[in-house]
Amino acid sequence: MKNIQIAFTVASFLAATVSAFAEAEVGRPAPAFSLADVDGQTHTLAEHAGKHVVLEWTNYECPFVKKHYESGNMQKLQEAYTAKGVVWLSVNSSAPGKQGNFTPEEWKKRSAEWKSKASAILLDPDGQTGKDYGAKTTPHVFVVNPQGTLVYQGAIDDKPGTDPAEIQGARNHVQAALDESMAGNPVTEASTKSYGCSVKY
Amino acid sequence: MRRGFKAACLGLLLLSGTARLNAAVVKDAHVAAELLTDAVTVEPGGTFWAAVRLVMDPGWHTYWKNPGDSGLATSVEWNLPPGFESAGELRWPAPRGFEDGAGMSYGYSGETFLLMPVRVPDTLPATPITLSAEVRWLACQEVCLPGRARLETTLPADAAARAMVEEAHRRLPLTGSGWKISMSDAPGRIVLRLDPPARDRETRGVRFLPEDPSVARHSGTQFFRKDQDGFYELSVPKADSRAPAPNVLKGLLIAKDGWEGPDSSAALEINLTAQSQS
Repeated sequence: MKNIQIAFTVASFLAATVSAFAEAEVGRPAPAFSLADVDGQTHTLAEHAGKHVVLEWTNYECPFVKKHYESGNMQKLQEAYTAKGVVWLSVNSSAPGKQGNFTPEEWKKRSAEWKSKASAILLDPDGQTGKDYGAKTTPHVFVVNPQGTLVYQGAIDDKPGTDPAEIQGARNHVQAALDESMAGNPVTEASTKSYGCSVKY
Repeated sequence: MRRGFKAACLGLLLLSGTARLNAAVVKDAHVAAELLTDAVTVEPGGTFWAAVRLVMDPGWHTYWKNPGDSGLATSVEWNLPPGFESAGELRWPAPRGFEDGAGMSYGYSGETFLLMPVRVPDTLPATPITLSAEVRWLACQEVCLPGRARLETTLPADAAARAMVEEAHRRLPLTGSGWKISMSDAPGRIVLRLDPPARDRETRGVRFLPEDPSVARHSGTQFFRKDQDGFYELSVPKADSRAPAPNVLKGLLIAKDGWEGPDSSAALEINLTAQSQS
């Protein structure tokens, strides 16, 4: 969809409901999905029942994603938590022809270059899963507990920006949510405003 | 001169970019940035306006202080001469909306100016007097690129710079109007009450753009109605529907017509606390 500039008219004001899709709600069951990964294997949420699952919306060309990958920050999280039994799924919802939509071969090449430690990279080119979850930006992260309940949605951390220097002092919301949930405690910051480039539906 | 949005944007684009003696334009990531002031004379104890001018390449936009669903607000770090201080907050023009498949963002295409008032000390430092600013932005089209520029300008300004800055200042949102605005709490919503300055003053429609997305959601339906007693109400969804009443609500009320009549700005800044009126 093209970028549309909207001068604020009364018609757009009074009728404005700009959210075009549902949003997964923290505290409710996370939406089901069935997506192929870059090796052609299908993944569903249900098959990971009994484990924590992280869904990390990504677009390797977006400067905000680059901030977390070129610094090694994202891979560090992926490695640390998959070692604890968390299933970490990178998801891309770029539509064909849009930025970030790669062939499986390109994905494998780039994720190897970046040393991604995700459990799998899932492809959602028609955007249905992204819209079911309400993924707005890259990155945008969702954490699902072993019972299938969404326990976190939002930003990866609390320092919006593209400068890797911000990562050091930031509160990593995903790390905190996983640590709290895995200890059996409520997630204290369960819903934050994500930051990043828009998902290229 | 009409101050509706379309007119404002056209007008700014027509201001000629004549070369100025004491400011340099820095181009990065599809934006040309420069620092200007309206200080044609530097008066001890006085104030002037400093402006960051951003000219975006066609098709590209930068972001408002609340960028909306995606993007990143422009940031300005000022480096003022000895004794000079900021005399208020950075002022942002009313943004336009940019919509794509993922949602709605707020920002600027074409040209925009971010303004800050600066107070001059009672004793001037030695010349040359130089202001600088480190500006960072995100420029997006379909893709996004971060940009930055280190800008400098010396005082005094020339007449062309002053003309640009003064015009940019005139086009800023109003900070007050004859309308009385107050807020009250409702389940899941914040209700703004707008009392017109006179019984015959009307508005055809109003929308609220929140400054803080953790307080109010910019997306979602806002309900606008006119009460038979002559006041208006605008109900805005809270960011967290279970949250209590906010302590502070800041943002822009964008109306169809000028707030103070046909030749005035359609954008009004509001800064409400639970007990106060704007």
